[in-house]
Amino acid sequence: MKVDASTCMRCGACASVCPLNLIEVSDAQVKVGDKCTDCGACAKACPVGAIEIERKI
Amino acid sequence: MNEKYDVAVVGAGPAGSIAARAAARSGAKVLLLDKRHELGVPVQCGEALGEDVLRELRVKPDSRWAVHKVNVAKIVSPSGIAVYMSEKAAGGKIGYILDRKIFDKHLATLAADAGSDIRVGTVVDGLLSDGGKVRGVRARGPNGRTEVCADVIIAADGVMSRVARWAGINTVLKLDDLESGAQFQMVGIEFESPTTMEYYLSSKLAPGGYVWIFPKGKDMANVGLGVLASRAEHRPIDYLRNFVNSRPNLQKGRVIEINAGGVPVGGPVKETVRDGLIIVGDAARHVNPLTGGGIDYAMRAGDIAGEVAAKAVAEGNTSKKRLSEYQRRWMKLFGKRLGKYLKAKNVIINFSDAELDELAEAVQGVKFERISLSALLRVLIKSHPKLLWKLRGPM
Ligand SMILES: Cc1cc2nc3c(=O)[nH]c(=O)nc-3n(C[C@H](O)[C@H](O)[C@H](O)COP(=O)(O)OP(=O)(O)OC[C@H]3O[C@@H](n4cnc5c(N)ncnc54)[C@H](O)[C@@H]3O)c2cc1C
Repeated sequence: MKVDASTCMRCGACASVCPLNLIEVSDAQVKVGDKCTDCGACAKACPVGAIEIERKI
Repeated sequence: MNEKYDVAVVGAGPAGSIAARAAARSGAKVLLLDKRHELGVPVQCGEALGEDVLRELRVKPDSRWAVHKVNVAKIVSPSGIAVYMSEKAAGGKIGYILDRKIFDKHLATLAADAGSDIRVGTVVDGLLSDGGKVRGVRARGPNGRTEVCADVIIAADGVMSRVARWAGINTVLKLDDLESGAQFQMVGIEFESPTTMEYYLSSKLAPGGYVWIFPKGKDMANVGLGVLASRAEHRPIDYLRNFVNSRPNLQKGRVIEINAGGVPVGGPVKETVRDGLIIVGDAARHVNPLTGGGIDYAMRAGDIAGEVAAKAVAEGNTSKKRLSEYQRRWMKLFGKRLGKYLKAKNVIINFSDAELDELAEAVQGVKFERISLSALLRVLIKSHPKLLWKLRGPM
């Protein structure tokens, strides 16, 4: 997953649905652990559409 | 650095600050940590709160943060049928629209006044544990990394609820249990009355949720909505733009603030204590699933948690068994109520727009003398047999 830092409001909705608890949201940034499977839950949760999932083909 | 406290509270929202105040008042050495550099910012809330909890927890309303009063709720069905609930002019209850930017700082100040230490700009990024028992937190802040040992950790880290998950309690939200919300603070708008909170239900405006207009002055309001993450076909902020653009009374206004956030609406987590750990507020999903309101429950849960944590530390027993006093007390205070609203929500979000219109029509003329969700539900059930049938059981 990729977060657009200028759209993101740091609200943490993404972290609340991450099945692997990999997302850390702080004032400065959104950090994602390297075990992310691009499941897409975070993108669906985001109120402002700041998250893009790159499907690995 | 390695530090030692009796109680460490993660998150200085309403739940954490009230918990820190309660624990410090009961004699514990308390540290309150928050990742935010400025508490209360950014706002992730519609900011509506009934006066009861403030009175009961002795937080004296102050016009710096209790910025506006409301006493009417207007609920509008998809086709535009309005149902009104009004508090009596004399002796009725006051609803406040808060300024959370000031309110959250005020609650933290109360914690500080009671003796709690506070550290802002400090992200908790892991737990210290010892054979299954939580014994502290890892954090990083302006002064680098630190480890804080504490006999009890209170997880008040809001909707993200990562602390509980590090301790092995599954608080992950399904997309069905998350309202994804967006809000504009608007100025230069018109609405029916500055003392009326407006709610709009419709699968087109906000699938699985609703739109709200909470006045903050004569031409200023929080205009926001929540949509169920599993049902949204667009970004919540786009639903909000559509709503605003479709209303002449809002269209001409200006947006001075954009807010966003997630609301857990799947009901409270089952297990809110572990050895050395208590979970409170949004982190424990202490939110009314039907309205998405959580400030009231967060504060009440925090107050119980802080007191129980301090007592447990003083007695030298912070086991899960000892801390379960907290779980018993919040369950008794509001657990059953949240269960009832969860059930109602699960029925109501599956009504079609036509069914919502029918319901509104059936209760349109009823004179409500209070703003009361349970009174509204009772009348709905009485006047609409289908709802009664769907809700049959322990209401
Ligand atoms: C759009 C929207 C509208 C809402 N409208 C209303 C309303 O009108 N009325 C109402 O009653 N409720 C409303 N709510 C719900 C309400 O905002 C919450 O229920 C309430 O804020 C919960 O309080 P809390 O203290 O549990 O969590 P929060 O207020 O979320 O506080 C959690 C704190 O923990 C901090 N934190 C999180 N993780 C960490 C970490 N790892 N390290 C350090 N600090 C951390 C955060 O920075 C934050 O300050 C709304 C919510 C949203 C999203």
